[in-house]
Amino acid sequence: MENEYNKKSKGVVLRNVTKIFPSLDGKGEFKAVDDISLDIQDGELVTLLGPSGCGKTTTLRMISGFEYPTSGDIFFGEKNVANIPPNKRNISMVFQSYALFPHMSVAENIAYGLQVKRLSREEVHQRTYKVIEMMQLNGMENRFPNQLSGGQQQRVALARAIVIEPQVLLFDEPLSNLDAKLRITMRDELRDLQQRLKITSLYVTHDQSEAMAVADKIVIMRAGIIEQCGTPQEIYEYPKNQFVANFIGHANFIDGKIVSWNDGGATAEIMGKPYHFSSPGSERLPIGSECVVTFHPESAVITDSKEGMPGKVVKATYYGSEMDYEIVLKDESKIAVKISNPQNTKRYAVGDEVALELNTNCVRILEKEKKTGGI
Amino acid sequence: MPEQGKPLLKRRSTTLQEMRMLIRQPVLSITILLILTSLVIFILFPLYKIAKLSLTDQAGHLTVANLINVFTSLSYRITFFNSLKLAITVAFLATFVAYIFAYALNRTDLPGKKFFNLIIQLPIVSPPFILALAVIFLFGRQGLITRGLLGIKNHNVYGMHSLILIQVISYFPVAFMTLSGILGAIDSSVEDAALNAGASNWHTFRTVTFPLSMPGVISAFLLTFVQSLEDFSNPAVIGGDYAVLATEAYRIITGLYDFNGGAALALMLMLPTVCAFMLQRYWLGHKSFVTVTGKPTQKTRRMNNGAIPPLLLFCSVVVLFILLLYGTVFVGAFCKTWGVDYTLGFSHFKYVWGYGKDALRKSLTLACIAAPITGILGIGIAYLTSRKRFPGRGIMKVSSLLTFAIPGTVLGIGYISAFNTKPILLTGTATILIAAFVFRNISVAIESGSSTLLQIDQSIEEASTILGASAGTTFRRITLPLLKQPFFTGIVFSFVRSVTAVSTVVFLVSPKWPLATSKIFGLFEISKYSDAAAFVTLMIVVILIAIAVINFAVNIILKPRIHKI
Repeated sequence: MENEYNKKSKGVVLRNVTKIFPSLDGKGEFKAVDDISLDIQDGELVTLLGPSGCGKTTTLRMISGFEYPTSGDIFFGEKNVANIPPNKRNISMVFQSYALFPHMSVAENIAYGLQVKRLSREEVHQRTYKVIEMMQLNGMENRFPNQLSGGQQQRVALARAIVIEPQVLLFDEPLSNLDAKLRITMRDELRDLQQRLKITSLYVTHDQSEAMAVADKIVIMRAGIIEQCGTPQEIYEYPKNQFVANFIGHANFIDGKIVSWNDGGATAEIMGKPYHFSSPGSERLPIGSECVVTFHPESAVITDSKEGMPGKVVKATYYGSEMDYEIVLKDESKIAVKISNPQNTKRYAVGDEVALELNTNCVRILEKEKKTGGI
Repeated sequence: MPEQGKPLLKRRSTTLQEMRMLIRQPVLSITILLILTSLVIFILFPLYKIAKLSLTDQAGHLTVANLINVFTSLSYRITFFNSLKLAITVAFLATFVAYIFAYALNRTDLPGKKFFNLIIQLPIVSPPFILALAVIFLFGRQGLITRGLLGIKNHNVYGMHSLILIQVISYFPVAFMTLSGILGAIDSSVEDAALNAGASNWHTFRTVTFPLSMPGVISAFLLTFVQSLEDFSNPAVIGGDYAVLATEAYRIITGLYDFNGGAALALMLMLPTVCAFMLQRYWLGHKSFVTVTGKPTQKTRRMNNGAIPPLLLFCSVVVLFILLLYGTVFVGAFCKTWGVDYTLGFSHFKYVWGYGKDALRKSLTLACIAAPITGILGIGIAYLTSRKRFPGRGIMKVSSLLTFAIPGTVLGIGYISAFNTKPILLTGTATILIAAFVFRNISVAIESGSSTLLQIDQSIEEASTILGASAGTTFRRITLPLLKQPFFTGIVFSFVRSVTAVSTVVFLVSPKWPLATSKIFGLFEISKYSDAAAFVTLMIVVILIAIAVINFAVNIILKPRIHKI
């Protein structure tokens, strides 16, 4: 079945890919990527997201061909490329450092991939200038990379990557060298371009908001394995475990115990009191088991009422557009709460006794992660 | 899964991958093979010969007598300690002088920095013998100062005191460059922090600036130590009775034809130089690499204005003395008879032109052949060792590192003993001289190539690969153009050093292939100092013209050009 699917798709498929490096002391070994499988559909942009050392860059480098997998297969469409060198793969890459050729002008940089393919002079000229036009680099074609601003260099890097019309486009943390404002502009530009050209793309980053903004699908990795794969919405709203919830949305966790779980939702006991949650997630936990009640900072409010969980404000930071609180509950758990538009609500100060009320529709119940399972 | 079995398997598969890569790239494999062969023949084989000679007697039997002789014989022991004593003294003084210059030029607002910088480059590019000549002209028996001004008769200029003076002036500029790199890179905010905390200028220097520059101090010390040990030309012409290893080995081989004894001395000479070199690598490699390569983007705030007058005085005195030395030789070349008849004329030049025209032409020819070979080979080695994995990479790394550490005398002795019999009979040919030039001077090309490659982000080459370029295309269109600068640095350096080489070539020159430097050496031996001065002046002119021509050509070649797409 899966092989049938591979043959039809023009996307990228990874099947049970493992990469083992010898460890630094030379004696043992280190599994950078551990038996991962992944489908990238034709024209889709998938981001690999995870903390440093999670194996996302190694995965990208195996798809690019700069590393060969220790075992497993990589398909581009129906072709197994696992042992094909990078220059024969018809792919492009946008590098973290841009990696522009410092001794070549902008136009030469862009034309390089076309010249290497031995296209005719006219075709090289025509396609180069088409991309220069598209990337709004007109007038800069005779400048050298060191005469360009960061954003312009980024555009040239992008232009150089797309001009050869690659089957797959790879991004290795492409925006991390830009300042915050420019990063957002370039991020949108990049997403827009990818949507227009419909190039199958893989995008590596450690910035979760960047991943959310550009991706059709996000793959969260940790310690060489895939923790969860889904649309940004799925990942944010239905995290599979505490790691994902924490990594993607800085979620809060409160310990509890399952009282009941049925089609109408789940009830959990928290600090001696039962609470009902209407959409606790897909994985049913057994009655009586330990669990964590998970919610994002914006899914809770602080009130003076007696209904919520009692706690005390230990930190209050005013940002104008929003206000961040840190509350300590009775069981010592620290909870972050984000209130948007604080002008309209009552503001609390450090030391205030308050009650935490959860938006129960937005709360998920996850299995309690063993301490040893952390990073 | 058996834990121990896997790494073994892994290692085998990487060698397998390396082999597969080589088979796929025949040009690369042939290049690697050629370079490895040349390194084995021209570096490792001569060293092996020296080791073998020092461990055999004249009849060819295995013995440690030569080595024991070096340790037990009083005169050898004196020679060994003479060398060490001189080298340590010179290293200490040169580092001291260099530090003052480096501090003054990098961390204060000293006036006339450009001028100071220019003058102290002089000893680096000048031919050998100049300073020795100057010292003889000024302080010798007929010396302008000793005899002319002070009226001292028969002042003995030959010996350790003159050697120290000359070597300190010759080698402190190299120490200066090392120290400048490090002192210039120290962020002045750390000094500001100390001053803000209430430390005095002197206290700040003592507790902050100086400790931070310590790696540079050690590195500079070791560098000058090695250079003093290696020096052949100065001890040979002005050392007098003060025998050092380099000259003693030459005397034993060319005078007594005792190759075994000479080889043993060469081995003794190599020991401290290789140790010092490895130590220097260690210090510079581990302690200060980042600060040296980092481009100094922050503005170094100049401070310590109270220290400027004494610093200025010190630097001016040193620089004026250097100018006096060079000026003396220049004038001396035109004077009829130094010390007796100071009328100016071209008689010495006329004589030298007839005497050395042929040798000078041959020196230049051989240097012109050797320089590009040095550049290509050096850049090739730098590229292969820092960018490629292949079987034999270890041998290439070690033997190329040895080129940094082998003293010229040792290389000369190695060549004369390795290539005077079949299968590789090269004695008396131009080839042996060219090989000596190449492998004596290749270290600079390797060094500048490697450091340039370190600065080129590897993703630039990966970008070319992923755009579809083969390894060959990437090398030709990306790596090679970026290596032009170190390539020409290597060429210029190799050219100058080849024309001015003494220690290696004194063993290798032949009647058919005389060289300019050996001709000047000959003039010294018959005390024709004014003719030597004329010859040296002639060489300076020729070298300056050559450097100007090469620089002109390089500027044209290196100018970035825009190719219309």
